[in-house]
Amino acid sequence: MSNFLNLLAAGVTAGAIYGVFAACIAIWFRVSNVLNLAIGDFAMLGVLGVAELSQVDHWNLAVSILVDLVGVGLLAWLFDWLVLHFALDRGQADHGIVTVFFYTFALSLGIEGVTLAVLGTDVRSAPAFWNGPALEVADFHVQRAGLLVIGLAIVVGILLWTYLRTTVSGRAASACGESVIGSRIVGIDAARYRRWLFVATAVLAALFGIVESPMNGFTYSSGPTISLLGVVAAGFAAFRRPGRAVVIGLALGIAEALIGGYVSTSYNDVILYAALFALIVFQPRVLGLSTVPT
Amino acid sequence: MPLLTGGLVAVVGAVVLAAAGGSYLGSTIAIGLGYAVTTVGMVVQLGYSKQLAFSQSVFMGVGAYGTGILETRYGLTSGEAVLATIGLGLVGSLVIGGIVTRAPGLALALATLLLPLFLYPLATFSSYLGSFTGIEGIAPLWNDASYATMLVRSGIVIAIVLGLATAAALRVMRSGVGLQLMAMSEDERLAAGLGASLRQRRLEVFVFGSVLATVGGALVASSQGLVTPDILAEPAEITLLIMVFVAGRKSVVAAIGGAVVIEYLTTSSAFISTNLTTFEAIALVLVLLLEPDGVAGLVGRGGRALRGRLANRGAAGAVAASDAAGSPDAAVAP
Amino acid sequence: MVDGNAIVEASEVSVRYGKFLAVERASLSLRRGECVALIGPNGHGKSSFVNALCGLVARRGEVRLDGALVAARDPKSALRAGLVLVPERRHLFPALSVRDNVLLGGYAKNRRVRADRAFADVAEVMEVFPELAPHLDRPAGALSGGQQQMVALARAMAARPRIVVLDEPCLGLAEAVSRRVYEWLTMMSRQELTILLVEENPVQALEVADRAVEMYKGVLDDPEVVAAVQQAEVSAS
Repeated sequence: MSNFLNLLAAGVTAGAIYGVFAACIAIWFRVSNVLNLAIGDFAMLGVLGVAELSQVDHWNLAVSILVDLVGVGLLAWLFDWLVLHFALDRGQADHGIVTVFFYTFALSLGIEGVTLAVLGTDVRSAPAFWNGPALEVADFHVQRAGLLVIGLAIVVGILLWTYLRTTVSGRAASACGESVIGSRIVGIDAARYRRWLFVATAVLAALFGIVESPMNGFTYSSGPTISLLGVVAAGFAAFRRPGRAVVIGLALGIAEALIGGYVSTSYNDVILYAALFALIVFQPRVLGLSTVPT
Repeated sequence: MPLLTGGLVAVVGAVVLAAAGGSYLGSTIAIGLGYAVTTVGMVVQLGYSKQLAFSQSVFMGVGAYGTGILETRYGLTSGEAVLATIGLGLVGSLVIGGIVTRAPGLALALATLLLPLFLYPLATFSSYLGSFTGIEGIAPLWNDASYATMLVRSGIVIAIVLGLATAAALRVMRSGVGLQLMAMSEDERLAAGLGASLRQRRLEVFVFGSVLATVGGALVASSQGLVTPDILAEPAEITLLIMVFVAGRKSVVAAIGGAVVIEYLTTSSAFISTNLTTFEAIALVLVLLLEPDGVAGLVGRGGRALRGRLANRGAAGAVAASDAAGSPDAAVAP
Repeated sequence: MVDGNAIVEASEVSVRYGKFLAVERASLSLRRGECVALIGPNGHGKSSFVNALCGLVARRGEVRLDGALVAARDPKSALRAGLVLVPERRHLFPALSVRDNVLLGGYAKNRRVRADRAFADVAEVMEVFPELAPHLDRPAGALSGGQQQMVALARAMAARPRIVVLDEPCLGLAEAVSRRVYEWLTMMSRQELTILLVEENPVQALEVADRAVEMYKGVLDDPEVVAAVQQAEVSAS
């Protein structure tokens, strides 16, 4: 029983990470119909930036985090202003596959390349917020960073739910991805929503990376894998349901941990993702993609 | 016309490889041409038909591992192994394509994005596939006692295969099937209304792209002499996508150029290879912003503008001549 | 020329798509409480003209509402002035509920309040469309064409407009639904709402309109063009 609970705790922690990145991808896709393939790179930038400022340059941790998050937000804002605005708001043609995947894919590549050139290939973590050994209750162990991750995921989930469900602004954000012309007719500035949610999700991803990094080190190439896992979880939430994306992320994390614990440590990813692959191709309806423009 | 273009590609490739001799540059170009076989298929699959499938690196892995296993474990010659791998790729793509092409649009993209997530760790942990180090000792396509001769002749074989792939891709794009694929890429319902068999066409495109990727993988493995699990990881697919999208997703010739140039840049100098990702990102953003059809689109647009300017100049000349001849009708003729 | 009683003054409005001139120096005044039909064949610039009035496409020329200039390519400027468009093909938010579609009509005024309060603020609009009451929580995209048109009208009314521009409101609708739309139009014109009604069918439009203007090849009420068209119609009949 204690083994099961420990695996469950590990799974919930990993799942909370997947879930938050998936929610970030889903909420922005809901507004822009573009997949944010750079979300993992924002997390990586958050971690490596704080590690560099606090451990190499010996800045105060709080100041490091603040400067780092502002930097990540500024980068996201600049990318939207210089690239997405030019590509999406002024272009007359709908470039389909290019729009959905390739602009943020280019951003991901750019962040990865510059980080490699500036910070090298070392694996690093941000300093832990809550130092000390794993918490123990009888045979049940849970890492302190894991608890922070779960707590932050719950807060993020509640905030997103409240925003989308109870505010006019949340409804307007959803409307942007439904009909650009419709939103302009009622006075919604879709570009503004896209920009600020892009910035907000980038900062959130960076913050989340900083909190979880004591458990998983980050290097310059960590981003694409995180983004891909986020995309998979968001995909099972029709790419535009952040609440469901968090739940799917949690389920993925728990399944991964349980398969690793009871079936095979080496092949847990193989079994899990092969099962998801089979699920998509045999039951594509589980994705609920009927309303997603393709 | 497709045959002529394919022949031209083969001849140019062969001449360049012969000129490069057995040099390192020749080896790099030969590997680039191997990648180009895959990118030619991607033009038909992703660029022309807009099929959201990201499984090309996986099929390159099928080709590379297939050749490696058949040669090193079952004693087949290089040619036999490549041919058998093509058959394997055909059967594999029919089976996988028959399943994955049931998933529409973004679901297909998601399904194919999942493939590296379980195939890469599978190859990494499988001792049959050589674990982390992969399979070494894959023979070149044309063995010879002289390294330089072996490299040139193997390269020429790759150029000929690329020429055939180019001809096949152009033939598909310019046929009635190609027209249906284009209609499907714009509006599937409309294409179905016009009589296109959506499932059959989707499967055909998937199989076409996948078989060429398998061939490309086999050729690259033969050129490099080894295959590692990296060919199945996400970065391999990313590299292929950059080769196609920067150069021009709708142009077969551009996709060949993209594969060769990026393969060359990867190994050209320490500075470029270290910063290649940054350069690729900048190139991708600039090209997509200026012309979503890549460098080929930019060149095409420039060519059209030049032709238009020359035509206007010609018309102006004709008007001047007709004015001089006193013909008012000629002045208003288009 | 400035009409003292005019609420909308569009002067010399031109719309160009690349090299194609869709609307050429069109001028139009709407008086307060007036219902004007903008008629003309398909593809002759009617929709481009009203889209330009509402700031949805780039234009040349001036549009003034109560004397205040409405910025080009800025739909919010037109909305603030009380000019609201019910577009051709409706452009609803199909996955959002009918309730959300209607409350977003009042987005310009209510964007900083809670969703339930915003809907309460526009709830009286729903009294005019009782047929929508059972469908408030259904996705708008799941409704019939006629019901969707009612949602589009309700969304427009939620913005509390002073001028409503309706672009082909009966396009593709059944006869009974068209009648319902015209009943609503008649009711609104009695309430002193200023209406610009774009219609291909002049007979239907003139049932409710106080007057009609015609757009032909992008030109509004050009006397020579009108005469030519009338001549052509007489010859055809």
